[in-house]
Amino acid sequence: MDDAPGFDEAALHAFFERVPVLFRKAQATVHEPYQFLLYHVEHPLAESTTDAIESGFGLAHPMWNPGSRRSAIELLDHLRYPDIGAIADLRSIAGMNLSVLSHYLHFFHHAYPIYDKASCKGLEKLGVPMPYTLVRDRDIYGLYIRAIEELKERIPFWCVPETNVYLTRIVQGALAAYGAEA
Amino acid sequence: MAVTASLPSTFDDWIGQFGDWQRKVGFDTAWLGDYKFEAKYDFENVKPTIEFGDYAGKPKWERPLQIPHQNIRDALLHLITVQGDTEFASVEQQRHLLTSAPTEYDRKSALRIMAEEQRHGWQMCHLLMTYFGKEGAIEAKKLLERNANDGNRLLGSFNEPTKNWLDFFVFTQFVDRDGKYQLKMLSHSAFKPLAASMGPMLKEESFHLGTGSNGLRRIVKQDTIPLPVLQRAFNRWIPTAFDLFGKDGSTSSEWAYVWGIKGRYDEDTNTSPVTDKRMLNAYNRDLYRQEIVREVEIINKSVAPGKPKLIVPDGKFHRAIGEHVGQEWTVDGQPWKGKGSYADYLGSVLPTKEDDAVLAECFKQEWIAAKAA
Repeated sequence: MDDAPGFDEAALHAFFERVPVLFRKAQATVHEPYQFLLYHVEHPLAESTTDAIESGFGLAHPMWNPGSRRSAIELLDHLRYPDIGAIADLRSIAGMNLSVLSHYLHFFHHAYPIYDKASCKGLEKLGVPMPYTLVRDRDIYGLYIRAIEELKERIPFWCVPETNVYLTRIVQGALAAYGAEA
Repeated sequence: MAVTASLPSTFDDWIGQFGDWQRKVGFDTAWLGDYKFEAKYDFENVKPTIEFGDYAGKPKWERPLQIPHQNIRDALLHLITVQGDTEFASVEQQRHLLTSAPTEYDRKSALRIMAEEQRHGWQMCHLLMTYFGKEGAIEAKKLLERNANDGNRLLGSFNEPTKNWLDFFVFTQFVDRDGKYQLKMLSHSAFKPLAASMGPMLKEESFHLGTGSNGLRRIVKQDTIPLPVLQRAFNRWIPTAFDLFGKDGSTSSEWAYVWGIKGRYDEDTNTSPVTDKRMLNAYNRDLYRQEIVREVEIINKSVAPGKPKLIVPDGKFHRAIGEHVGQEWTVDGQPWKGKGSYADYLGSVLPTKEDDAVLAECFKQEWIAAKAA
């Protein structure tokens, strides 16, 4: 990968060995809603889907305008991983920040990673500075996706737990737990 | 109908034949979205020197010409061919289930599993076409010609019909788990491109196993499918998974170890020397059995109080390979001494036509929980 993120190799290897435990730690806090959402977010996507995702993760509800939620859901649903260009076309809705949007995207297409403060901190501890912003900045989210992709690519098989969730979530959840450590 | 009559001379030729195979199986590539088939090699996590056997300590072979003799080359060709055969077979077995998935995520998961199994077959064919000349091309072509639904795949589990979603979860939990064992044993191989193929495959396999394990826990939690029906499905599939390890006293596994091309499942952590190389299949099968016993214990935590627990059938029961073929053993490993014939006994502990009818009714109801316990 050109201009790939520059991970601290020693920290990275230590992190990989801890992924199964870190992932379980991250998942323990959201196990019930996460599994519920996996099997209940179905097409056609109802407007209530975003409510369920917000409730599951304790996110604030965006201040939707009439019609804005439907158009946002449709726009996000039509994205194809790893494309994120269209998020710039979303209307400004108070409360629908990059983190909230990434939660929606993750449950619409499971390869998109959840973007949150703890995961950004986790990347920083691995030597890859990752800004945490509430602005819907596609460049930052694109960089974040690339960093997670590299972790997915490089994690050795013996560090990947057997689970019904996507590798994206395993790596991102582990990063969040890692980032949350003092 | 044969997919094609011509021998692929390049990997691109083979890719064309792979497309024909997908059409024959009825696998619509549009379902894959952006999924790209590609050969993946993880050389970073492969040890540079041969890990066991007569050549231990020497550099791993990176090219066929470095392989010391033809017998080793032939054995590698066979191992890769058998592995590839299972990958395409499982797609043939499961493809029809996509129209009856219990949820959208289950459908997506099955689709992903089928895509990854195809990629694993692709990977094996990349090895065959890249490193094994005309013989490799012949085998790569045959991998697309045999068919699980015609019953001519190389290993028994992969000719068994996967009739419904219960079979799918049992298969991914127990038969794919055997696949994990085979891949891990090959991850120690002296042939570096084969060893480097295993890491990416094993990573993908983790999701397949997690899907099977989680699916069975969801089924038990929902408590719609009667446990005896589930137990009979275990009794059908698990002996076929035991068979996949091969005969107990096997010269093939002995030589594979002596030559350093296929190790023990726990080769990386087991520092004890191998005392009886002919019994390596039995050794690896025993590790597998211990693991699935632990898996079934986890599933049993979701069994409602007062109901019978699920069990792993004894290793002697209903075997099609090895010393117990044709012998009369019960599911719990006792010599059959009951009233009536052994065939009648088998009829009571293996899936029945009545089970099919019961399952058909269950599938009309809420038969699987949205999440495991």
